[in-house]
Amino acid sequence: MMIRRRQFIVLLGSAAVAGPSSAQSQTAGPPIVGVLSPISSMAAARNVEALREGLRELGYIEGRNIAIELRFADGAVEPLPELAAGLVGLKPAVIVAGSPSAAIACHNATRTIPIVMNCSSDPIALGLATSMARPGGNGTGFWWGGEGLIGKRLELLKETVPGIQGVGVIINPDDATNREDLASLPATSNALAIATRVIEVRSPEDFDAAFGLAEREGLQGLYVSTTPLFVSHRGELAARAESARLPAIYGFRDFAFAGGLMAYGASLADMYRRKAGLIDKILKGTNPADIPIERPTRFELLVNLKTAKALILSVPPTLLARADEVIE
Amino acid sequence: MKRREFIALVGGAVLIWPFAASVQSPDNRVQILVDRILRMQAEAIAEKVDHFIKEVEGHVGWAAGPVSAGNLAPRRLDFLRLLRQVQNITEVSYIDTNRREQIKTSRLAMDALTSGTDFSQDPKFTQARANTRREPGLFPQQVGALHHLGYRRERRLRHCRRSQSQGGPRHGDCDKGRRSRCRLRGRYSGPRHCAFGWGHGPARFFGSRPCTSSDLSWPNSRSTNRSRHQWAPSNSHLRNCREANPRVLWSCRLRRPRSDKMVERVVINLNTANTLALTVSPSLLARADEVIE
Repeated sequence: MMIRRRQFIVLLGSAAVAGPSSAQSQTAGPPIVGVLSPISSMAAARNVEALREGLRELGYIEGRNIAIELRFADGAVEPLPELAAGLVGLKPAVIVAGSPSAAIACHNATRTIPIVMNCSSDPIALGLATSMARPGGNGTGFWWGGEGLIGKRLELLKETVPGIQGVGVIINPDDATNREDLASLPATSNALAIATRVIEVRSPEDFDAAFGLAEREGLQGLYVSTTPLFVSHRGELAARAESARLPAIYGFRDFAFAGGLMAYGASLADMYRRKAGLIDKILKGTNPADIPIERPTRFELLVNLKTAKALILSVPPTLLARADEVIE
Repeated sequence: MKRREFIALVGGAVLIWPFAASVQSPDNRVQILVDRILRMQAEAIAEKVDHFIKEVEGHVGWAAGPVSAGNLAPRRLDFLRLLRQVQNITEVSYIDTNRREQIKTSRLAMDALTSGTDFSQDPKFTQARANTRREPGLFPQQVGALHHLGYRRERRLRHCRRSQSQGGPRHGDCDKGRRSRCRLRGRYSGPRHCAFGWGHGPARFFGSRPCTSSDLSWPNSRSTNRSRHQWAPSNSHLRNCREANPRVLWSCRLRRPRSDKMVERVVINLNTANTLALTVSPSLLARADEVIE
């Protein structure tokens, strides 16, 4: 009888202690949206604001009925698993992953919390989904690879510099997306009748060697691939390209604003705004496995005429006519 | 007595049965209601999709003018402007009468001029041929411009006999006394064909009055006061068109006024610029919707 009484008291006491904490983690407070961005907070500010705006349009006010937790990897791949694990520990309702590597890190950290990803690589090949129409797992979002934007960008570069013969293609070999781009490079260079030289850059310390190689080989232009490392160091890359007098094309608008000659690619801000819709669906109970992976619909071309002037280039009117923004 | 009871029982059952059935199956009524709501939702979505497709087709109509070997570059510029203005269009291709691609502009792939790619067996082209009349909800959510252009091309090919046997109609065919070859002769009371020849597409079907350059001009071209939106087809005209060919009705609908679609216009007066001894930069001219000279 005594033992039973003691057991009862221990049980009651432990329930009293553990109850509030577990209840708080599961039910108290608004649902958390975790954001894992592979780039720096400054570089990602526009995208995060677009996400907030999208959520606001759907009636989610931060701090009132939704909470947003941000984590930034500052262009490095190594801290992503740790940051992903930290986000999962917060028990968020949804995690937004800003790159394929971030999506993989989140996928490895949890198989239950829904992930809304930006994926420039094929998510099926990466094991993040079983099909585009029905991803099947806990990940959905956007995919914009597979169409060979490298060809489009090199075409725009050639249109700007008609006599260009040799182009350096700066990639980060640690990024799967960059490796995918290289597959279509031979066909593209044949179609445009230009010679391409792949230059590998793994860290900012490699920039010197990369631009030295471009100078030694007499390259006349640069293609800078889309990888978080380059986005985080966009200002430095643009300045080096300008000082080396190399016309260059980049993948995101931020490069053009940082002094790059031109940028063409999917609008990240638009995708983040549309991600709010996916988050809304998930919060209302839709299974992410049933939400189709979408394609971007908005592509932006930005031309920096200031840089063009510094490089003594005249941008053709056909290019200006199609530009979404001209920085003068 | 038993017989009477039996008759009363059967009669009562026959009378009561409909009421009893309706009372006893609330689930069925709920199901009917749910089905009705779902049908209404589906119809609303189909209407939205239909509206979206019409809007895209209307935009494509701006740039669907004649293409010849001499004007490939200006037409490509028109296509580029179209892509800039309408985000929903990802790719525009112009396919000639031999079903070979002449111009391609794309947001994703590389552009092409006179690539000569054969589209006669391409599903986008063949399906466009099949879908000459469509019902709400039968089309996919996104429409490729290629699909649309192919659809219109096929319609034109059917319209003139020359198209099948003699290498396709050419610019000015209708002005060269070949009107009698047209299968539609005698259907219209007034001038039948576009003064600009075959390449102008739906405009040639405006039977109730001759079409003019104002119907056809690209709104951003260097024009002065050309308003292609001033005229809308009358009911009698639509009826005539419908009698002549069910496809023509659709072409007429495409030409209804859409002036409210324009959201921004940059107009530059070069006369004033000359007077002020100003040189307008090429970049600004390229971005102008209208240049007054």
